[in-house]
Amino acid sequence: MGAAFGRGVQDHGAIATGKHFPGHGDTGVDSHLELPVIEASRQRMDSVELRPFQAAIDAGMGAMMTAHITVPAVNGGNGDAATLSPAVLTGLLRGEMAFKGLVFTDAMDMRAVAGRLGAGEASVRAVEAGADVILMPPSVPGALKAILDAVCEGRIPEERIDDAVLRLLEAKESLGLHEERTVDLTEIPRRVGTPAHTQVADEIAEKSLVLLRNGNNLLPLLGTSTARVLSVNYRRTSDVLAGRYFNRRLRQTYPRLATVDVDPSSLSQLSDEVLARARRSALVVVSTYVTAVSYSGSVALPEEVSEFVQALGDLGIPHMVISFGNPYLITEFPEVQAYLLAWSGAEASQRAAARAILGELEIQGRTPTRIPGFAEIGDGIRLPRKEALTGG
Amino acid sequence: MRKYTHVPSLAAVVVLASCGGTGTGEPAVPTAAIRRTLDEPARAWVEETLDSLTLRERVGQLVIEWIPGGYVSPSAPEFEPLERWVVEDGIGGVSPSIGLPHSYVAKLNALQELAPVPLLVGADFENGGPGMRINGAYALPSMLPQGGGTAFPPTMAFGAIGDERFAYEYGRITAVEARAVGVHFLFAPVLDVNSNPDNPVIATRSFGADPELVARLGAAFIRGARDGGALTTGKHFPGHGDTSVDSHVGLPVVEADRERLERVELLPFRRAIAEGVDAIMTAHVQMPGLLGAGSPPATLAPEVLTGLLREDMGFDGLLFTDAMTMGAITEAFGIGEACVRALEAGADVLLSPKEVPTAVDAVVAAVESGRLTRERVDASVRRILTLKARLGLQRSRTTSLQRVAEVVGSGPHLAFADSAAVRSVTLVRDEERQLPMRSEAVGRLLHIRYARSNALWAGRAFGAALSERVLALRTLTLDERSDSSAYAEAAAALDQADRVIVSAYIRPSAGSGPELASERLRTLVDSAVATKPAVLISFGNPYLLSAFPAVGSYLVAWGDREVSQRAALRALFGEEAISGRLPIPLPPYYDVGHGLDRPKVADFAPRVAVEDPLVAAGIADRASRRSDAGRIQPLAPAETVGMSATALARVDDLIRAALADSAASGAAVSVGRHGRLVKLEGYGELAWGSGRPVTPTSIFDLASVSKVVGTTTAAMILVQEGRLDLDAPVVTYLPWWSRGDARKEQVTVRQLLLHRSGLPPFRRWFFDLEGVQAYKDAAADEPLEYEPGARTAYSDIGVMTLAWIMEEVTQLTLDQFLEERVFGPLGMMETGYRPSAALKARIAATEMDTVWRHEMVWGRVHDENADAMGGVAGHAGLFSTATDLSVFARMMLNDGVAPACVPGDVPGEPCPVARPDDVDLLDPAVLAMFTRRYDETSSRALGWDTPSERSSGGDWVTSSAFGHTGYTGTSIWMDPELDLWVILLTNRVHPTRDNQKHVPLRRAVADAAVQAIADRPVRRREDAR
Repeated sequence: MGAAFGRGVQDHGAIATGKHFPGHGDTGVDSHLELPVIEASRQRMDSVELRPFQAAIDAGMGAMMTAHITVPAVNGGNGDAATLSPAVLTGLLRGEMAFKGLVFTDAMDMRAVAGRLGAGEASVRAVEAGADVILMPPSVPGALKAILDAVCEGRIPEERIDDAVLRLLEAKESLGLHEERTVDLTEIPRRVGTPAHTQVADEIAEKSLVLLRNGNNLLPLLGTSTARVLSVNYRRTSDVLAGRYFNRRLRQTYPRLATVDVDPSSLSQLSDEVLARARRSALVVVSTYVTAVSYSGSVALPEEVSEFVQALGDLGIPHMVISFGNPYLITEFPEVQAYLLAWSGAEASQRAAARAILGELEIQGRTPTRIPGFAEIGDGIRLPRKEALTGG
Repeated sequence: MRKYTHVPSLAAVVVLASCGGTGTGEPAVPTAAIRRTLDEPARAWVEETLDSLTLRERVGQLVIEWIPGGYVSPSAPEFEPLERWVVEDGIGGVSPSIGLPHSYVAKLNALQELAPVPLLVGADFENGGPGMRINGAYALPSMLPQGGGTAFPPTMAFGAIGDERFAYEYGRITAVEARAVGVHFLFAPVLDVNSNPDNPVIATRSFGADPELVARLGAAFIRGARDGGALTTGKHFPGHGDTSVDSHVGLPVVEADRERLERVELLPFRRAIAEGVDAIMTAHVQMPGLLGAGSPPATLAPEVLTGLLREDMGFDGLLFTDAMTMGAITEAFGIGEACVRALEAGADVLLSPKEVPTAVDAVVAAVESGRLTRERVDASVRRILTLKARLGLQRSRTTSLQRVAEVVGSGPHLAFADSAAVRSVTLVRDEERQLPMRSEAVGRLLHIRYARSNALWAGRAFGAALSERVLALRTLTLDERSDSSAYAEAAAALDQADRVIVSAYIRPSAGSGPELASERLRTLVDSAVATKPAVLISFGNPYLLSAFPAVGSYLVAWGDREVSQRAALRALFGEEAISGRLPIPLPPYYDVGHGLDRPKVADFAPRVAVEDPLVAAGIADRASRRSDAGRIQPLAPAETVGMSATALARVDDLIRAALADSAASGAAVSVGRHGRLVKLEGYGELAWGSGRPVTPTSIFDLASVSKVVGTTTAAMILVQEGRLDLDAPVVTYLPWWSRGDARKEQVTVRQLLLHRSGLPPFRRWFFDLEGVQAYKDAAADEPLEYEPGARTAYSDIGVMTLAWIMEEVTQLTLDQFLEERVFGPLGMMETGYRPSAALKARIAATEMDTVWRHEMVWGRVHDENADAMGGVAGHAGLFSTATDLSVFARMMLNDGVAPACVPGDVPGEPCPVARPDDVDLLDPAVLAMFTRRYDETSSRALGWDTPSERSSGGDWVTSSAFGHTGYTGTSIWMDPELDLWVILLTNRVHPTRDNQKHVPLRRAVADAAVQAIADRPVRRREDAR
């Protein structure tokens, strides 16, 4: 998949960056805050973490971004972040895996590297390790000076710098920047947000929906226009578009749709007011807009929300949860009646989810990730369109 | 569960762009000229174009339709209706709504290219100028502002300034920016005299309640806009100021008779016509006083449009209806009939009929039936085509996308908007002369912000600027959804405060009576006013005083946008003079022209540089207090290590009580026994009023705890490795140190550790010295105060020297050595010197330094000498967290070994990051030697201290205990016999060191921890009795 994405990007004039090398999936720590350790053996890395990167390299991926993680299996347990590790960047990526493109560091102000060494030293070590681009150093002059000093002191050979600069210039040349470096503003409306593009986004949003549970065949909904349906959105305070497109579509079918927005400052209403309204409803749709947020160190759902979902089950109220974000939330309310993954709160995903639960779309996605105790990779209940079901 | 997603960054751009970069000077901004008269080819174009149009096409020219202003690709479905109007219905113009400058230009250019006849583009750049339409977009959910046109304060703010030059410039800049985004026509100025305080639709869109003021400033605006290159529209004829119904919803009534109209409402319009205003827009108001009861709205009345405006007042320009979709019109007549009637009455342009074909068909039918004459239609079409020709649209109808950024929201424009906002701030009441406030004298400030929950920008700029100036600040946000518990919290906060600011973002159009605020809000503010000095700031409705009549100080900022928020803040603190005058009366208290003056008394000197990168980037949400991070460290149940959970809970009570008594703004505590954490907790906030809670991973300046956790640990390692000889004289390592002083040549390493070297405690070198070398020279020059070994006198200079010795031995700086040998291996990743600026959001603030640094010390080391040395010193400089120090204590009480761990695996095992193997750091014998009391002449051990009378470790740790304190309010105590550690981190020096309330707290916390031990008897130490 990654290689295909890279081909798509690079066939259309941009450079794709594979990240976060050598693999940031198997960690529970936000590297914006601290340095995660990937304990995997080299063998496991070859078969899991490194495989997508090798495929991307073989497909000609133009750039790689390093991860602020440490991989004892490669760097011998010296504790270096991959970003700063010659063994990882030069030995593994450039050497064994034969990557010829640009190597970006991840943002250098992230705690996992900046905190340990100080920003200047971290930049020097990244260049030493084999990085070509220092991304977001906390202080640009500071990083430049540190690197320059390291060259002057002979710590970094000048060839290393030339090597990186040459690669950057080649990348710029390949983009044609030496001939035209600005973009034509008048071209924007012809290229950005065209119907052809939004159609693809819609199609992806629709096909990616994954139904992991459908107790009592709750879905597809009957769509009885007189039904009292309650739509509860949990979202960040400022995420005011969460639920907007979803509810709009739902209201077309259910004119009596009631909606409740809950944010972290108004959780208390769930246990009384909202639950009371839920008791008077024929169906409760809980939408969670919980996404992973860098620096927050958490993708958690407040327990008020999971308790609310559990209470719906205890009270026997037909209900479902749609996760517009974090797919793992089901572990917080294991007894939920129906659980649909819509992956993001984007307008296209909101519309797709609404249409899907109403049976206007076939639900056909398979989860690409394992949810321990709930789903294996490839799981997903296929739900034909309602017309197909009724033969109409 | 996976917890990490990388947010794509603009980083590459940042770095790469900073390498090149070409400076461009301020570009010359051309103003598009409007011809007053047409030359021959232009006149010919008008007539030829008119002749070429069919009747239906001519009627189409009369329509100006509302369109969205946002970005859309011309090939997208959303573009289709616009294209239909322009191409099929041949409308004469469009009126874009809210968008961004470039999206305006892209869309208008696309439509202009499609239009058979060039489009006349008009927009509501009215209240706040361009800001009303092309500024105000925020990227959700992080609320990152997207920029745009210059946002001015509302029009009434210019009434409060009262200076024609400001109104002129307001018009000029608005016009220049409008033309730069493809807009020709301003639907401005509003010439309504806002004589009715309950007017729900005009309010602060008007210059004020005084006809002469409105006339004068309106005319100035028109001159400015003309010079800026745009056409102007006076509205809403014959005067919409004296109504209390919103015409967007129903049909408002203006009762005035002709005599009163002449005296009040018509004056500004007469002046505008004399000034050459290009267009006048009619109001959807009923005028029984003029037209008799039951008459049609003014928009549809020939007596008003033709009789009064064209004939009596001699207006020959373009006549707009107000939007034809407004409820007042459509409800009464239906859209087609309303359009016919408007033309019959004398209007030229049908603004936004929405159902364009219906409107056009109705008008065509009216012509064909003879109800309207062709001449009548042609006269209007000719007026429109003439304006297009005056704008030169027949030659060039599109706008340069490239030029937008040179003009729109330019530096000079923004600077003018800022100065206008400042000049407009009006101090209506200030009974106790609270203004200007001095930030050092504000005390504990409670800021209550009231805004609707969807007004996400309300308070952004004001709140940020306030926190830069006030240290002890608490901000509470209330909105229409706030429940009784929110108000109860506010009431409780009130008790804690010395002073209250209420900033109210209540809509200017909401009315003028007590109902402006909810009962709850009024009760809260009333009780604030009754007990504390309080300032009410209105960011919106100027009549707010009537809801809070008892408030002592009342400041009107007129608008809710950032520009007004910044201005109010600067006025509040005397950074700008206050000179605004009420352009409206506030009955029964104040009349037009009232306003208190205050001089400018201060330049802004930030008290605290609050840079919260997380909040600024929208990543952390200050309101929901989720700014901190880090994995949760699971605790062990107290009972599993022989402690009582209930007894231990007393630690919480003690700390909370102390914080409530202002012992510090925040504290973090760690208690552990038998190697397991049983309490790890944060309390309070990182700085007073920061709203940022202290957590177990909040970072504190350890001050002298650096001496033991850092410097002494390094010494232990070097001693056990045989690289440091305790009994060697200092000069064997640092020959320069004695400067030949024979007594100094005797001083040994051991004496430095025992504080028996003869050196003085410290010197105020920081006033004169900078850098490590200067400090080394000064230490070398410093004579001893007493014979080495003769007594004990705690000395920073001694420990400073010890660090230099070790740097000499290791050829590493102290911070490098510790990182490599101690903090790195132990996984104390949050521990180190010189924290990066990015971490500030997690660091506890320390002192407001009024003597040397003149800033709130926050994120740089509090100890002045350590700071002057660059942040790394033997005696101070270390920053750490309660979580990290737990790892350290765990190691110290475990014979120098921190066992291998996986975070979260074993409840209570301090393990913020994995330790793949046991970390065997210290030799037990060396550890014991350093931490045991050296002799009975003092309580000191080597580097460490041991309990004595009134010990900071309290009265209940055993005599085997060792520990240390730090000046900033930190302490760490370990008791090998009880196998117990107690770490307390506070910022008691915040905002001033004149505070000793942490001293009893420290002792009480340690005592409570010992007393919570349940599996063995504990007792008060002998020496403490």
